[in-house]
Amino acid sequence: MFRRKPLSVLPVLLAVIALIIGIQVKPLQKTGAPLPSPSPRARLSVTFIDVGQADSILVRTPTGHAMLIDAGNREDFEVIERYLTASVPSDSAGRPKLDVVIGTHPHEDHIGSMAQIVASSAIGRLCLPKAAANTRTFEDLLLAVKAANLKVTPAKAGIAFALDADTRVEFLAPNSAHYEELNNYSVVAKVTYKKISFLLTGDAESLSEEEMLERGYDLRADVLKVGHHGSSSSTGAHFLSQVAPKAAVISVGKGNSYRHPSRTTLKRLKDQGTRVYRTDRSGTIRIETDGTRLFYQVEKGASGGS
Amino acid sequence: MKVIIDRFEGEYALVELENREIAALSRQLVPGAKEGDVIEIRIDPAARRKREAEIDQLMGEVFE
Ligand SMILES: [Zn+2]
Repeated sequence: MFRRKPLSVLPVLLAVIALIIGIQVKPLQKTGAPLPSPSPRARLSVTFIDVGQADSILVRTPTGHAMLIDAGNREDFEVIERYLTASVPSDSAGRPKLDVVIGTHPHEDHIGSMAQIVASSAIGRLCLPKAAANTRTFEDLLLAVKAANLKVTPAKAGIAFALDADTRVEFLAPNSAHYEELNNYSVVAKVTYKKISFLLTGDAESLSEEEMLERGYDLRADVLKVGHHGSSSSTGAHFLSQVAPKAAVISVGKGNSYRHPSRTTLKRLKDQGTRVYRTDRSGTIRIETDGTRLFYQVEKGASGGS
Repeated sequence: MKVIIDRFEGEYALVELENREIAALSRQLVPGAKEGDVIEIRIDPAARRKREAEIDQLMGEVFE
């Protein structure tokens, strides 16, 4: 639907015209054209930004409220910023207004560009699990939060809030304050707009999935952001059968060295009859809903509705 | 140089370099290491000299 356009002669042409009429033009972006702004219609949009082997998800309500979940790797700031600029209203200083920013857990592939996002956006509430990392990347984020005079809301299961009158966000994890691995501290957020739900799981692994099952949460969701880039350590069969998603999105880098997504996970999704979207194949993926139906847009290749 | 383990993925430990770049190290290079561990990577000139002497000795034995 939004294929890359063959623009190669255009920049040259523009430059020539510019030379002739004596003005300067910026060269056009060489990389794939990003998805246009989300539909102005009364739809909630969830954009899975292609940040390679990393996560970054932008939720925008029909009323213009926005939530960013994760901020890619360190080198992904520009691509994320482009989507923020195109999709989110800005404040009087021209900074994108993000009602909520969530760092699912403090690994670099989730908080890599978050310090820059914090420094350049107007953030209402920042949620991070109470989990420390030793890295400078995490330290940079904390320093940016301090410089922005923000306070971090410790994220844990049970926290719920409304993004607007029709959009509710609920945290289903983390359910414990102590884990061996940072992945299991991942904030799992369920976003519900009218009758449609999205379950966004960060890198939560089987241990966290088991805890969510034990707690008896309503896991059912129409769209699942598959945990941990499709690794076999997430998306257990029981968990997946309870979520029972119509569509699943895997945020994964092309030819990554970790062999994500795993065959096991892909097979489980197939057996469940879930339609799978992958950022390594489709680029940025946007799923919109009017509250009852889902609409799909992808940056590369075919897309459709359901 | 001191590097910090950010995470593990499959066979790799992903370490954060001092300039914040991320590099992949084989897990076998850091047996028993955990997330958050600080690993010192440095050139060891004494070990190099020792190694050179050993190789030199061996070459002396096998070369005509
Ligand atoms: Zn990750």
